Amino acid sequence: MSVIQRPQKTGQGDTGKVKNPSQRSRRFQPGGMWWPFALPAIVFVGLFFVLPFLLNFRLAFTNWSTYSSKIDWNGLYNFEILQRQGILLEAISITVAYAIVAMMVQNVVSLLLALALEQTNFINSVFRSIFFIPVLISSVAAGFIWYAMLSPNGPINQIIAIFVPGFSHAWFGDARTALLAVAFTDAWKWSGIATLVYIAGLNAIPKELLEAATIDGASVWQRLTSIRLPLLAPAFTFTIVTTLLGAISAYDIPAATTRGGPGTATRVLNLAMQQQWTGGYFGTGSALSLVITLIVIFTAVPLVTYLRRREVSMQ
Amino acid sequence: MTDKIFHSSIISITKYLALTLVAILWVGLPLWMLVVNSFKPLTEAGLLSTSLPQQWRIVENYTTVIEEGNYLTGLTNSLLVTLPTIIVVILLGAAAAWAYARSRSNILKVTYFIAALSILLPPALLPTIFLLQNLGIDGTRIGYLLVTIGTRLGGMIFLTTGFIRSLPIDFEEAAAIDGASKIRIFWNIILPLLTPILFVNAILLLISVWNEFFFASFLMPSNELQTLPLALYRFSATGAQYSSKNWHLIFAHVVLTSLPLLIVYIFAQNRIISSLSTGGVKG
Amino acid sequence: MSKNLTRIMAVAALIIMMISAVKAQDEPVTLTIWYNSASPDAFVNVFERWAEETGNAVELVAIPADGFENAVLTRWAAGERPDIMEYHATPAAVLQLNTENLQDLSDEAFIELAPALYPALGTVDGHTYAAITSFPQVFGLYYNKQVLADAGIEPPQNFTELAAACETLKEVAPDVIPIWESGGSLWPTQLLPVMYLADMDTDYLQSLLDKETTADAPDSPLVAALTAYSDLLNNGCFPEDITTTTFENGISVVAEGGAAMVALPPVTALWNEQFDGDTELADSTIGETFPASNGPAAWWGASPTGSYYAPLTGDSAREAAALDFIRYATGDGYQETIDESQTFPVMEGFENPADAQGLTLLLKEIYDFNSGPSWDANRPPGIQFDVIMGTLVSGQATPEQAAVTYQLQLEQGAIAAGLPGWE
Repeated sequence: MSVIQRPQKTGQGDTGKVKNPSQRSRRFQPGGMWWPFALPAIVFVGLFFVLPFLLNFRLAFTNWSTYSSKIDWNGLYNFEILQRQGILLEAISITVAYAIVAMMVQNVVSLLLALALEQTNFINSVFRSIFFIPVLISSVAAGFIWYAMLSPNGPINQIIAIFVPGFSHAWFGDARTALLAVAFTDAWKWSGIATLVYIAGLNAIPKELLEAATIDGASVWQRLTSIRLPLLAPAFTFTIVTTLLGAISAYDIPAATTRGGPGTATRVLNLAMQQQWTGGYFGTGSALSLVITLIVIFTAVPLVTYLRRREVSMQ
Repeated sequence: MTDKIFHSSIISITKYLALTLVAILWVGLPLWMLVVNSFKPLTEAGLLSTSLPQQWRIVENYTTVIEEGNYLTGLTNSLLVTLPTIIVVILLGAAAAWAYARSRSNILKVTYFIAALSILLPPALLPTIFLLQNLGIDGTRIGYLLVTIGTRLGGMIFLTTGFIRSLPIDFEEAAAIDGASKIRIFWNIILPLLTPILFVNAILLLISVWNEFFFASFLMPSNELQTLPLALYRFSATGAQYSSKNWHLIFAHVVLTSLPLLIVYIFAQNRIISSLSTGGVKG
Repeated sequence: MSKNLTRIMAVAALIIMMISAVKAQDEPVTLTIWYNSASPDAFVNVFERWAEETGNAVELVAIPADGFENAVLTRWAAGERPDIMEYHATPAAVLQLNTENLQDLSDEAFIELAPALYPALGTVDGHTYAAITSFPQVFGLYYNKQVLADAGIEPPQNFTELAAACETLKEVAPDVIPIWESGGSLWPTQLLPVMYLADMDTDYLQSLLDKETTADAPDSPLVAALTAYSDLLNNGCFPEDITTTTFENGISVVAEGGAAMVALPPVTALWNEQFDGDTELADSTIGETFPASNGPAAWWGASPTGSYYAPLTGDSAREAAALDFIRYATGDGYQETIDESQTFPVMEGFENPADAQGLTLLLKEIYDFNSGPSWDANRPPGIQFDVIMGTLVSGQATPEQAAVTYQLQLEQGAIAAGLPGWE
């Protein structure tokens, strides 16, 4: 989700900001007295986020199902049966492709919009407000809207037909374009947030730097590529990571539009999980949940490390 | 000089023309298609055209949706889920964030790190159901509420802790020297200081919890508990058997489902956009 | 069985039921009843009518039709037991619920009255645990009478004739879509292949579950059915934009003559709606035929509506009252349910609803003539045949590959259910 101020903070260096208040607060903070304030939140997070997360590592390797009230270990059977049915690797690659497309579209659109709407003035505020509207619409609703927009007789095909007479394409119905259409809808729904993050990042760049560069005769393009984009690195880190990881656990939009189809062309991991759940195979479904978690971990850790290192080297 | 001004105003006129075109295609066209077709009868809406209705069916379509689309149930349930979540997450999150920002305990640091991880890691659905079954609260609203609170607190804590660390500690020290209790300091000093970040959190929670579909569809299968996105989804695929895309009614339902947030947005839009894009959250 | 004998038996059943109704009045009880939220009013009212007549009370719990099986099984697995429950009457479902948890209905009168249903349904090892009261959904191929007549085609009675009809239509009436198919709605794509298998004699599914053969074996009837479907697809018998077409469009397109035929569940009401409520026009425009691989035969699906189980609750008074309800719903109170719901009786000795129209009567005719449950009615739940058909329709799988997937999903289900021979 959000986190707008992180870009600004990292710019100041990580260590200083943490140390400073705690040093000053030495007189004020008697150690053990703090836990009553944190405890209710710790209980909630521990019980309803951490515990299911840990349980997943057990349930994914069991025969938990509707058929029996007993739950036994069954080793790697869940992963094996998924792979033998051609579900596992297929769903992984569909999910990854979905996430990459959604992330790219969202970031390109958001960055361009942010560059255009960087200055805070009345007319830009109006545009910012307009481009934020899709964020307010539920993903299910967004799915229905774009399923109609991109249907064979829908408005998008009608517009294309102005330039290419007779053009009509079932964007969601053709296995070759369905994934693009679903990922695009995802990007459409979420771009408004990333736009605001980029605007916040752009506004955090010190004006003096840009003025100095202008006086030195740097062109608009040079200022963009050598000052603004590099200094935007923390915002990049944040939006790329959150949009990519958000799309890996996608469910709503494919469920509202293609339900995984045509065939299995848009069956992302969570939809495959839902199909196992419907069949009563809860252990096998948990295995797919675990796969999502592992993909997120193995994507997030290297990605964050890499992007953070770039942030540092660029500054 | 005048030449330059002329030149730059040409650029900005072109820019805003382009932006307007993009806004029309990106936001205007989908919303227009949505609204205008929700006013049409079945077959006319099925054409998905963007022209004005030949036959207007506003009252019929919207009454049908309210009566048969479980709209009022959905609205009530969405409120019953969203408002308690926001209140509890804001209060517990702020208290925890204050502790995390000011305490130097290593144990607390570890729990802070774990809570912050929940921003990145997706919550595990089926094990959550397993847990709720064992607690005897699966399929209930309270179960869904507890899970939603537990999975949303991390983001709130992360944002707010950063904010508090940037606040000067002087007020708290002064109050402590005057003998004020911690609870009192939290309530009278910290919470008011946190207003901007709490507003941002409340907005983000409102958007994400109001529109939440994935967990709600698994954790609250019964029709009596369905929130608006679920009501919309089920209405569009009633039984998934004998009906499918009645666009005029689906669109009317989409409009009604989106309306509550859009109304909030119309009134608070300036504050929402400016606090999300600049002010308020400066760390 | 002669009509007289049936009548006598029905009367005998009535007497038995009246006696037990009097008995039940002694101590009023409250029965908890789980019913499918999609069940029509007539099948909900029967609970209340019984309660009124016997002085007992019912607590009705609606289980959402969306995710119905999961909701029931999850609560069931947690040990919850209603007194009466609507649920699928397949033997697979009986096994899922586990016969140890259910009252044995084998000695009840309704079984003799419906030889078409028992022991095919609701029965495991010769014992019956479910009482079926709603007329099953008979699936068939609707057609536009005028379009077929104009092309000089008789309604196809088997799949060879169906393929030939498609060829003729493509030549004679190139603007007409021979067979409407709804890949966008997806579920209708399952109907034709199952229809193809409707006249199969052998217990094919059982041989799959007994590991005697596999769904993807060279002589597999399933592969034959999928191939017949895929031939229709490749020969251009379906709409060009098959992956997005929806089933309710099919109704209007066939009604208006844009397509000749469409395979559907019984949807008389939707045809009537299409003709603005003119049932005579619907009957004269639309016909229905029931082609299978070799000859006319229909398959049907029993819905959970009106299929009752009486779980063992440990409370003998309530268990007796639950039995009494089943006797009422399959005897004394049955005619009223039929009249109210305008469906056909599934038991002998009851009258058809007074003014059934032509399109519905066709269903009753084929039901009596040659019909049975779908070949895989008793398959392990969890086989996603609609998704499998989706891969066939979108060209992602060949009939053979689709059958392989079917076999693997069947194995997964058999193992999870712990069927004999599967570990």
